[in-house]
Amino acid sequence: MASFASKRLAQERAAFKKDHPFGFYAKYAPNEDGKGQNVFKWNCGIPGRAKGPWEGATYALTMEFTEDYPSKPPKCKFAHVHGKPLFHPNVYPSGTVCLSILNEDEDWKPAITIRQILLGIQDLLDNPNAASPAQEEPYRLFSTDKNEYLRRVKKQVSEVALGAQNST
Amino acid sequence: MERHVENNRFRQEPVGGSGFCTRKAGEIGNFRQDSLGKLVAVGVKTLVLQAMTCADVTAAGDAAVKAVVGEERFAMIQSAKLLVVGAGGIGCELLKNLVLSGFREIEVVDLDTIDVSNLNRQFLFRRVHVDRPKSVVAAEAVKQFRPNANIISHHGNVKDPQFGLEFIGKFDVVVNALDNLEARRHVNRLCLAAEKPLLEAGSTGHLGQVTVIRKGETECFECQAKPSQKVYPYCTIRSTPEKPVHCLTWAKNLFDLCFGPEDESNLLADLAAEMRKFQAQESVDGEDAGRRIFAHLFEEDIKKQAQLEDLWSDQRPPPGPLCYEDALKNTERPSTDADKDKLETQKVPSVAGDAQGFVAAVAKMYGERRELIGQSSFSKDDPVAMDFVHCAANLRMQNYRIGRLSRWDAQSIAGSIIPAVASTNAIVAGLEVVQLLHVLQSVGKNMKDSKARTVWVRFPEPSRKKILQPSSLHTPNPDCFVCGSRTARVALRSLEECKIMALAKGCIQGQLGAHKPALYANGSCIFDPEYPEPGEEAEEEGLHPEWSLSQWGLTSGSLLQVEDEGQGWSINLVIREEPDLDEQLYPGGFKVSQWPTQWWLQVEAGAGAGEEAAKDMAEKKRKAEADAAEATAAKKAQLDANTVALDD
Repeated sequence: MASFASKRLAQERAAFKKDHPFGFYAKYAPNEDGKGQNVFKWNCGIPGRAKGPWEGATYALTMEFTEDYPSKPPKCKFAHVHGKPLFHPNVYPSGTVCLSILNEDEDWKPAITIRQILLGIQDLLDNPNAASPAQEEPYRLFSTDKNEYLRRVKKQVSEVALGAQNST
Repeated sequence: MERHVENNRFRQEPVGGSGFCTRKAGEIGNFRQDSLGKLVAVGVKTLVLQAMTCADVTAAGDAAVKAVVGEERFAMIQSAKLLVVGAGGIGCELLKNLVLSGFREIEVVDLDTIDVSNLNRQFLFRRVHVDRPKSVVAAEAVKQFRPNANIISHHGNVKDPQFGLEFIGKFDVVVNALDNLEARRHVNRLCLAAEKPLLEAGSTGHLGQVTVIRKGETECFECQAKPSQKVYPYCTIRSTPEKPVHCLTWAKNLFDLCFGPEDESNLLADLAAEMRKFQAQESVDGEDAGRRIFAHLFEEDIKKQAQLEDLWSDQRPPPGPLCYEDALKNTERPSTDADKDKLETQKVPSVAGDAQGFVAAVAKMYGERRELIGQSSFSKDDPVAMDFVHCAANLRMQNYRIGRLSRWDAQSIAGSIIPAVASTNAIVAGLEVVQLLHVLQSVGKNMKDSKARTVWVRFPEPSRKKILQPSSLHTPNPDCFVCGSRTARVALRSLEECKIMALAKGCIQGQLGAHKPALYANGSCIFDPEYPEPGEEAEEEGLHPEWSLSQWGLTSGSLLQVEDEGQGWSINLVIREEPDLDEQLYPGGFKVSQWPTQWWLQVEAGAGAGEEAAKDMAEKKRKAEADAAEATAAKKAQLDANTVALDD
């Protein structure tokens, strides 16, 4: 029988298809051999919010689930841009997002939906959390030189808009 | 007796109804007065509510209802949020009953617009409303009875995504007034998923029924297999018709073959090439094509058929070919004394009339309908299509020495018409309100312990003069693949040949009634309803709808998980390969059966009479039951395919 995790994921997929915020996507990643789709790995896209620094592109992100989902949250990872991590204080060099609702010891709850995760990450893009730095340079610039920080963000936005984000 | 009622149950299951009944208005009128008289004599509770409907002043009406049902129940009525699905024959009556009984919060969904043929029984509609949405007009009409009622109408298909689980969740009770199996199954599943009580009702001619469904407490709409229209063996249709209906089925397939899109499942698909020959010329002269088709089908083919000596005997003489010129000479009309009072369409035409009618229908298709050739499909309400089918069927009946039919009778059979009777609808809608009150009062207790009942409306037999027959609600069938075990077996001929898209469409949507099924196997998603057809986009996603089941790594005994993204319903399928699956019994190529959860009970039942014998017996019994279930499932599938568009 199908596991509880895959059952829940199938329901999440159906719910997201039926109703999802504009500009977002979230779907199963194709299996490596091209045979079917991996229920435990999702390819998602988060648009930068209008009038915010990340406006103008959609950012590819993968979500990886385990059989312990939904007791444990998925691992969310932004794809690199020209081989570099997304320029954001709360994104680790690997691309992994650091957000309290994605930490099972903090605010993760099994009832949180994939839609809520994606909206949470979209919000994080515009509103970095200075209390949990994950990447040195963006954190430093964000804290000391907001103008330079914004310039660097804008640069990456236009790179992504031109298709520089290779999926991981 | 209980058993008898249960068996009867689905024979009464409404599958039909149509505007056709206008023509039988006289008959129905008589019945109506007669049965209403009896109804009053029976003193049905419902009529208490119905009788109050004369009051048109809100306050006075409300006071009257309150006097009958009491303060407490009236408060319940006023606050209940209802969803009414369907605003046709039953729906109009129901909405009227609901507002006059004091219900205030009602939303109504219907996808149809009003047709002239509805006006004889859908009494909220008038001629000026023709072509307007039923839901909107019905809501406007009943609002005039009770201006304080808050009625929201939706013109749309209840299967549309906006009427999903979230929408259903807003209501206290869902009340069905539907006319087709497909929508009923869908609403049944939505209500089970949303855990909302559902009132299910239907009528066919003089028969009707109302029942109450609540998840885990009563039988759901799909706990018992529905019997279906008869499936005729292929060879009966193709070579050895014995009844008019065989020839009509043949003629309907012929129409779709000649004027519809290509369809491999057409019973006459192998004739497609020959038919195209007659149709392919640059500028087809319709009359010429008609005569060529005539000669081919009713003369040459029949000659060949007659030469197959093995088929024919004294009891079954070979068919006689008919040539067009001879047919034209046969102008004699079979007539009886009873014909005097009949309409022209109720009389059987001459063979010449049929021959001319056939050619004329073909000519019309090539004349005014030329644009539609290749995309038409048979509809009993399309006069040209009906002429074609009537004449073609009659000519074939002439070939096979079967008594020919009037256009009227041909239309009834070809369209599976069961006249809709306004009185039955009214009784059924009244019963729904009574059951609704029971449902509202059952909050917090098991529906089976409430006063709610299944009620049958029956055509009174002389021996038992009761029109209404209540019976207690049944407990859910644990093996029901919708509300119970959610496991079913699917047998198919070849895993190598069956494409995943064919399984999704033909079996899971067609037979199991899923809406938007996603399929999972071995931890992967292997079919997504968003990509139902093969193509580049699907391929990028790792999906290959055109792959066979064996390409997907499924073997006999594999488990397939179905998640319906439209209904919030899911089921597990055990796939089995059965190379000698009977084509005639399962024309779709899939045999669906329930997976008995407590099969061991059936084995133990025979213990004590010697273990071997017992096992043997149990096995036989199980097999018989399984076969019976499978046969019904197959028939059901055919029914779905044949269900005609209905209008109330």
